[in-house]
Amino acid sequence: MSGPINTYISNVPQASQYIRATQKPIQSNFLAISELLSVNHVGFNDAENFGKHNFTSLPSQSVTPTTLSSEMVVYCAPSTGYNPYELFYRYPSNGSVVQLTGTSNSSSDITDGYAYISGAQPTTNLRAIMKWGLVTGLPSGSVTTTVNFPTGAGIPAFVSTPAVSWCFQGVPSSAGVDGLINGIAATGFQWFDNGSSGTWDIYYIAIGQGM
Amino acid sequence: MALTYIYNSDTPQGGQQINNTQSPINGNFQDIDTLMAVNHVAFNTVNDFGKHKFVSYVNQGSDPSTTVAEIALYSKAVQDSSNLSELFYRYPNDGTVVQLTGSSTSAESVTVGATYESGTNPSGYKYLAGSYQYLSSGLIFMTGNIQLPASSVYNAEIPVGDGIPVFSSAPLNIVVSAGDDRSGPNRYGVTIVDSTQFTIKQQNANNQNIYWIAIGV
Repeated sequence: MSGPINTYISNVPQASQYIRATQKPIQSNFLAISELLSVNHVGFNDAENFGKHNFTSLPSQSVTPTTLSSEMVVYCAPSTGYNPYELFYRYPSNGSVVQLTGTSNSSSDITDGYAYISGAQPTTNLRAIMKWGLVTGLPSGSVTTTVNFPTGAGIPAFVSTPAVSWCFQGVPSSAGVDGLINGIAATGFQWFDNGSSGTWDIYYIAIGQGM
Repeated sequence: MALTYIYNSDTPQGGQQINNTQSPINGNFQDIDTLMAVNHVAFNTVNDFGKHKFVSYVNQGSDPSTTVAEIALYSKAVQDSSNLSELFYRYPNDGTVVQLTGSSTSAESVTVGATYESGTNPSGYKYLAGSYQYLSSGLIFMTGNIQLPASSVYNAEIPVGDGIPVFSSAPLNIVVSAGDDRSGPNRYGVTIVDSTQFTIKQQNANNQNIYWIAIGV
């Protein structure tokens, strides 16, 4: 979008101006006001919805907006994750900033990914994060194997022990299969199977607090 | 209710007499004041003028365009859902459109369960309640509960129906667990087939309520 077409002159008319000199700037101001309000908003002369929003375009903010004691803000800012920009919100009194949107790249992280969930603790900035994964080739034979949650640039980390749910991928056919996970920590969990042979694949979903 | 005055953006005109411009100028100022008080904190309000009290989104018939460094947030009508509209956002540069809100209701979950019980139904198992939720990240979170006989393998269908989101591809992850704690072996496995179904095997010696969680896009 280019423009604006009309220039808004905020300090008009002046007391010393002749009336004939004020017609143009006043007219320009009315045009500019209408032009500005047509951005994002339902404009004048719409009997039902004037002043409401068609949508809100949120240009990226380089500085986190401030908040008063009884207000919140929603805004767009650069992200270090897969998408260059995401939506954020901030709690009152310049409180915690929470990332509202964002997930791993669904095209490349089919089996191991993460997502932000729109909940957070306002005082600690901790928020709910979900990670999921497919772990293949886990051994049996009373061997303990450590499974680490995905890490890397832009990937949120758990800061405390998450809740983990898991199951086998495929159909375990061996009568000796009795796997379990334990040792759950912020970085991962441990797999143990007391079967005598074979390897197993498991799906897991972990939900916990992170940032 | 419409504004009291018709906003005349092209006033005053150079050829107008001053006594003909007072009314449209005054009317415009009143319209501006009235309009800005909708959704916004109005003029002459210390500290908060220009901010938003809330944002009313008028449903959009098409997705708004976005420039390279902005995200748009808006409302759009949805079909066959318990809600008439939901919130969406669009990533920069006319990027991906993501549904931000939307979930099943408890009443809807019951309906879903009943639908599937009478749907495709290999003998011996039935669907119970399920639910879904759009996550703010764009993921769809879906849960379900299937009652399976002892030591069984069944092809479970992912719920479909009015208002229920459809995975665009095979779910990224599905985990299952048993709802009944009885004698083992407590082994439960899942094979994701495609966007509409997955296979569950439970090797327990008793009938089991199997709870499943699926996430996908």
